Amino acid sequence: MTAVLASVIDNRLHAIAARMADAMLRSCRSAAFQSRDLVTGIFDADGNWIATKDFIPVLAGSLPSAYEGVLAKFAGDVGEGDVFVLNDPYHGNNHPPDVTVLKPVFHRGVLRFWTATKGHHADVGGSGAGLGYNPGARDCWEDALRVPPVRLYRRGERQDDVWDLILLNLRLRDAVEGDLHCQIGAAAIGERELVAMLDAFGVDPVLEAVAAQLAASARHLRAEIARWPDGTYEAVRHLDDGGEHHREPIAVRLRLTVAGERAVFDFTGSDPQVAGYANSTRANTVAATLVALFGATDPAQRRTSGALSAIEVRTRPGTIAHAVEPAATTLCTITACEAIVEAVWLALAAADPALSHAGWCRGYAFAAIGVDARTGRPFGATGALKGGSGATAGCDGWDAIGPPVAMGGGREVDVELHELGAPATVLHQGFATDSAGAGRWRGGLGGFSRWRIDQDGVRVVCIGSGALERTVPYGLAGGLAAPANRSVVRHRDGRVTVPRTNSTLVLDRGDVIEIHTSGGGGYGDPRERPRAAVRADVRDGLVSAAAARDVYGLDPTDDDVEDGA
Amino acid sequence: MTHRIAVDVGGTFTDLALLGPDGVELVHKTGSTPAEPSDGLVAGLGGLAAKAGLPLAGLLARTDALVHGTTITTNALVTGTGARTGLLATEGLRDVLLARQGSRADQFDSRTAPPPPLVPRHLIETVAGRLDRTGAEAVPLDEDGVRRAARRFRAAGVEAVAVCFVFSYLDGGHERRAAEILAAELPGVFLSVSSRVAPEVRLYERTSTTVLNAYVGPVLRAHLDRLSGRLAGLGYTGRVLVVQSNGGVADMERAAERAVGTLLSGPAGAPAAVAAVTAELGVPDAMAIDMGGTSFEVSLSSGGATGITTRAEPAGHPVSVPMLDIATIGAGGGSIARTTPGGLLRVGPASAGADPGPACYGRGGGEPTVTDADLLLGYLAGGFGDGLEPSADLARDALAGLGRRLGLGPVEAAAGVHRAVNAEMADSLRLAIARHGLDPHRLALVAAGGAGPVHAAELARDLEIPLVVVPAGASVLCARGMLRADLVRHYVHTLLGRDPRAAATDPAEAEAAFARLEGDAARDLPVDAGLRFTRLADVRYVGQVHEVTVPFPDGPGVDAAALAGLLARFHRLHERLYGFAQPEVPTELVNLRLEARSPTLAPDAAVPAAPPGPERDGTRRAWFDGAFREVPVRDVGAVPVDERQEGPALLAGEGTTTVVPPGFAFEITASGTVLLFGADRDRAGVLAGLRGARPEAVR
Repeated sequence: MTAVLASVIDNRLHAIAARMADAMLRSCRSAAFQSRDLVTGIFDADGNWIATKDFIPVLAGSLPSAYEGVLAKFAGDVGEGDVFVLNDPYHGNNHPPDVTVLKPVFHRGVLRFWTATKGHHADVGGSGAGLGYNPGARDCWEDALRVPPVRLYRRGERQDDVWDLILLNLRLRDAVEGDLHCQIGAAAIGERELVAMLDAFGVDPVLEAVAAQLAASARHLRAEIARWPDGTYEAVRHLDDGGEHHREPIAVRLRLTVAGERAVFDFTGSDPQVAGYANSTRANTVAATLVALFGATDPAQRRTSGALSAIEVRTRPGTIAHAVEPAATTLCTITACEAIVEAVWLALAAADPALSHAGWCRGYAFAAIGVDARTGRPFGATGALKGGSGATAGCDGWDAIGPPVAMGGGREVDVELHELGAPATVLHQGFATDSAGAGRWRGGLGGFSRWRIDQDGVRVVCIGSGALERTVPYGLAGGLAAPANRSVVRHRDGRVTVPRTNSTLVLDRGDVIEIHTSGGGGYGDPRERPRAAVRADVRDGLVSAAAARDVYGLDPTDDDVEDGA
Repeated sequence: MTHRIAVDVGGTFTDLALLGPDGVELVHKTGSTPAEPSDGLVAGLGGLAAKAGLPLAGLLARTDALVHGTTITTNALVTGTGARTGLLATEGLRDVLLARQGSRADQFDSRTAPPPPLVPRHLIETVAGRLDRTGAEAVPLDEDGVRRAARRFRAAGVEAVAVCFVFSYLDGGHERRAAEILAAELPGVFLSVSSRVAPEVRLYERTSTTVLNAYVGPVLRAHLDRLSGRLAGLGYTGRVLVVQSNGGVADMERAAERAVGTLLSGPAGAPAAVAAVTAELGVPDAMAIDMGGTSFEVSLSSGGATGITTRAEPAGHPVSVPMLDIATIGAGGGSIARTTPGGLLRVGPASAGADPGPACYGRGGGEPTVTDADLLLGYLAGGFGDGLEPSADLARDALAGLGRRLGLGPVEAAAGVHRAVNAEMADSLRLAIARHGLDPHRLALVAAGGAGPVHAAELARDLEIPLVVVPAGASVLCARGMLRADLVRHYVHTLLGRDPRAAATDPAEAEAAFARLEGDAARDLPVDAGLRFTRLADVRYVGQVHEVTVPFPDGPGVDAAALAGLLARFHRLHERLYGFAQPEVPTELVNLRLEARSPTLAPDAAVPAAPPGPERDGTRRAWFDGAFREVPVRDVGAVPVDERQEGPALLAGEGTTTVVPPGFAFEITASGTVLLFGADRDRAGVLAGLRGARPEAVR
């Protein structure tokens, strides 16, 4: 009955991870946590990653290295009631804003599990203007406050000196303190439920079930990889730049080797790391590879250490895909992650496009931070509709679902809550006509937004990529690429400026940022798209009559067409 | 005028219940007629009248209220057959509904299309006019723009229009004016206005709720018009009350206007029945489970009230009006068991449904289901209805295939399916209990649905719930509950956004707001039978995103002490729900909520005994503790009342079997309710334990 018990325990562990995430969503403080920029996880005492709730999967894939970071320092010195925290990218974390909390779970005095919670904090110090992003950072000290693995609680006792040291270095200390409590509370809920599970089933049956569950997870992913054609496939994707101090495109180069049930993802040929915040830690590169892998295989499978055993990720220290101290890294969960995901999907498309995705939108965001003069409360906010996802063989992309970093697991802050919480107004937020790559299956729509700043002297960062021809979402199998991300600022005094991607602006009351986000790439020849679908897109204002005629080849005398733009 | 009738029209069956002046209750079940639901309803009334020994006209002449539950709005939503609907939105915000906040439920699945929107983009019009975050007018309403939109709606042939503007919950003036213009321009078109339907912060949820109301409103209105015509033709002059998603009832006009409030009109009957059963036992808090063919539903019944949520998402569409907090997972008798490519066992959410149904039905379904497993394990001692004779051989064949993939024999595979589905249901139940901040040791588990009593004991054992309750007549539970439903309305007063610099909530202001809401309730609801109010507040730490809905302590009104008591409750609940509290951090009240109940039935109406069924006593081979054993089969109606007996046993009831595993004792109460509890306990002790001091719970 091991398979049955393994199924029961596997479901229970995932239910516990989901319950932890549910508690975080309902008790959080910041807009970032509210938008589901968080994950939870469970490890066994051997360090196997056995369950997760991954709203933002690129955070989840780096939980194992965060666990290793804590163990590297505290192995043999872990006690009941301890709570560890870290954010430092050179101690196992992916990048500084995603703060990781780990709590050991003891049962009758023996360490059996760990619970982990991770979320993007509103502020992690450094000189960044919004949500921890500092396009001007040259190194990891300008990036953020560095917190190596330390204890927030020792044997149940709060370590006030550590809390004081961290919070004193933050502008938004109340929000961060609240969200750390939110993470620790959720970790404690997970602990409680794991102990109850051990009480109910007994230790040995549970451990046996966990081993069987990991083996099943490995078999599942191996069976998926076995469907890929054997061979070696190469792909190159670029970051637009590395920040204010590195204004050149940077290449991520992948050599994917598929042999039977195994796949090797070799990124060692990527460009050197740069003086800027776009560098990817190895943890982030592994996590991004997992996003691409799980995004192209059975969506129902579990994402665990078992699955990790089916693949190998090779990186070279000192490159954009494996940054070493003192490189800055805060942007890596966005742009580098996207370039890595795209490289994997393009390489896989070289094997068989039907297995893969057309390019998704790149993250391209304006984030503001400050103190709301009206309420006296600190705020952190973003104000644009996200871009769309790439088409697949058989399915249009999803509109406005954002980059593959989240795979649609995030949830945008409501317009009214945004305006109540920040001195900014959403004047316009909607789909942009012709923003998707055309195809037999077209990409999801991108957006056009007009975001007004309602207070003087607000610092706003423009972060991301996808503003260059070589970084727009690519099409597949005859599908077309989507247009680039772009923006202008219409200042109150009549000036119009074009923000440089990865730079910081200071805006005043009445200034309006206009933001176009790209849709996803298309799949297959647009002329093969069913005419009824093209007509519906024109009627709904998603495709212009001109594009319907010129790109999709719709007969211009077709009198069923009514332009709804 | 002394009778009351409840009619619960579901997709397959129409259940009816009649309460006479002597407290005697009759039930009747008939087939539904989806093409014209009022046909089956009237046929059912005829059957009910025959059981009462009256001509239909005679029964209707004696009836003062007909309580109607219907799945017509849910059905329209699920099948995409609602009204052709337009949306009038704020200029610049055309795509709030369609963008779904950039989120999808199954994030790794890129090979499934998004759910089709209830309003296609070409029927979304926008108009200038805007309030700022304080509710002050920033841009006046463009009335000519509304007229232009109306003309386009007319040209497109819309049957309903939703109106939802940004910040309209602070001031509905623009929406009201737009609705006046639309009403004049579009006579006969159903209008749904957000500041009336769902006046709460969060534009996306409010838009979704208002659109949903427009989408199903004309469908419900047409149904109720036809129904009242039919009833009038039969000479009926009494009231027709429609069951609401909040567990209460409303008159037909109100129900049609707020059709979004009937999306749970079918299942919403259950809580009143559950409350009646638990009240009879003197048990304050219970979780009700309902396991049918395709789904497993969990809801809270607390002190006669039911768990309410404003965050439900039926069929993926957020609804922010208060409705019963029913958690649903895809686990039912028809749920299909399979193995993953990695070799693990999964049960559901795919279901064999009613057609072809489980393999044992012999209608061509070859895949093993939960019902097949239960049958093979010997648990199904009751009838299947429909005269269906299930085939154990077909069940065994289906499970043998599954077993081969798991390295198990067919019976062991069946035990595995039974265990796995129990574990999934237990996980869902555990989460629901945790979200309410409840302690399972202080709860009863009320089991309904055809498969609920088969699985309930194992769920209770897993969660350490001390008492399982299987009400008599469980198969028409909802209809019986509808007989007892109160008129219920929920009111909300939003404090957020009015003045961000205001100090902590002023008790006098809160008291004045509640007094206003209670005045509204007294105008909206009949007061002759007395109104019962429950005051609640949505509380959070300053800067938090979500709130905890906390009941005010009992007392005459809101004063400083009452507020302090409320906040103390909030801190305790927060700790229990989320693993931490920060009593040193300031709090804020986001909404004041009032639940108003007007009873429709005198409170002393008794729950009568269920009629005894046919004798089925005997023994049967059933699988317990890893082996088949010969266990007694008892007919519920034939077991002596109030006499303790011990499992293992199978209790055959109408349309279901209550499985009593070893280690459980059972008793049958005078009203036919089955009670299960640990064999090491006695009934009085278990009930006394559940009646003690209760921890506060989230509503």
